Amino acid sequence: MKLGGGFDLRLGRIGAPFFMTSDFRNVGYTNLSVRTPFDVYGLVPVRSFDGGDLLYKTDLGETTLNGQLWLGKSGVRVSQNAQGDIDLSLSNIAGINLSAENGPLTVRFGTMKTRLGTNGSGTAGLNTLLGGLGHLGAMPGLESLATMGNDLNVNGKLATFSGLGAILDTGNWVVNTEYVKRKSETTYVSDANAWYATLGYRIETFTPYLSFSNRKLTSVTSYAPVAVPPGYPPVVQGTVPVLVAGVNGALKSTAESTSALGIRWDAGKNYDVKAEFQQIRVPAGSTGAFSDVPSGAYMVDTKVNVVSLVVDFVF
Amino acid sequence: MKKLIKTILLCSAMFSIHSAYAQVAVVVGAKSDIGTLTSEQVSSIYLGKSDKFPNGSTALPLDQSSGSAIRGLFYDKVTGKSEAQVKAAWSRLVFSGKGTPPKEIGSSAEVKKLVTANPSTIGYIEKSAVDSSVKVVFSAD
Repeated sequence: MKLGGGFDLRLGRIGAPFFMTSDFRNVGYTNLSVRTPFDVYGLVPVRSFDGGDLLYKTDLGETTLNGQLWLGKSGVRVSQNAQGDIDLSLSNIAGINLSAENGPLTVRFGTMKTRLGTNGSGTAGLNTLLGGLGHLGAMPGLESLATMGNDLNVNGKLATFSGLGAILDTGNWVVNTEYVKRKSETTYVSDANAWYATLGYRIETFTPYLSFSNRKLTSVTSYAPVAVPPGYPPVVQGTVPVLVAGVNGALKSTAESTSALGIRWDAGKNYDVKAEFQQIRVPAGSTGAFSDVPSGAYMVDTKVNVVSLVVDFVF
Repeated sequence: MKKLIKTILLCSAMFSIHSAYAQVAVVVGAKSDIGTLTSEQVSSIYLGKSDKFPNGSTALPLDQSSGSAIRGLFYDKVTGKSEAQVKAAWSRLVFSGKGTPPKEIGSSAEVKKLVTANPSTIGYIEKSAVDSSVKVVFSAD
């Protein structure tokens, strides 16, 4: 809805603007590479939010300024187990995005905060684990278990996500780059920072490109065994390692880095063809962006090669 | 060698004919109060960065048919972008609900008719097609 004076208001289910290209990340035709760099874009699997946003656009000489304030709530299924799904809820989302565009250069900054929560029948195991940690953590000498439990607990915790990005499009050269930072008060959602840089060069309808990206985790992803003070009955002695293993099972390192080489061919009026070779490097102890990794994480540094061939259509 | 020089001369001759023919005029209705525009101002209207003329009034850009010579020429000379790049730029706006691309008009005669009828519209035509019903606000050789 146009409000005049350069303001626009949208209400309803809106694409969640966490990243520079969030609005159209699923429209392959609008992106240079086959997919947005997962090391970065995989950090927030939330595609939309329910609420509203206020958009502002103005011209300052040759520079176009865009502002966006967004408020609402959202949710996303983060994992699945025998009991069902674990859903992460994002409530009280408040975020702001600013971008400036001058000729070939666009710079964008965005930041947001939200309260986290968990839903779904799959949380039963997690809740049992938290109960056990609280129960044993109340015993003298085992306080570290209580801290572990409080840190793991998701409900009501604050999380923030910020990103700084730039696009340079000179006609021949295309450069996209973004740096993002995720922080949360719960260890269940790890703190991470990630970046990517994609460089392409247009030759008529062909655009060969190179892309590099990296994701680093900055919060705890596993705990050392907790020593049980002497004098506790065997049942406590036996339960403590099980609880610590449970916490370590809930925490995952997803660190990885990716290099890619590809080519985009604007073959026709309404479609493009892209071919890409990617090498994803996952350090030992991390699952990277992969699911169902046997034994929970890669035991040694692992390289995964991906070859993609896609055709994108647009009407 | 002689043959090569001949070919080069022929090519350059063709090029000069081509550029003499290949002139684009960006036009508004003759009664419009829009003065001259810069290529940046025309580009930002046609790439969806602005929906207003510099004087603040609404700008409704008109496109020529996709794949037509004049359209390719316009985007190349005025915005410096290929049609594929322009299409990608508009897709970004369309899929995020932030804009709709310019309406496609079949011919320069139609464009002239529409800009004359509606002072908010802006179009582009071959320079040779310019007549008294329109006002040229930018031209590219």
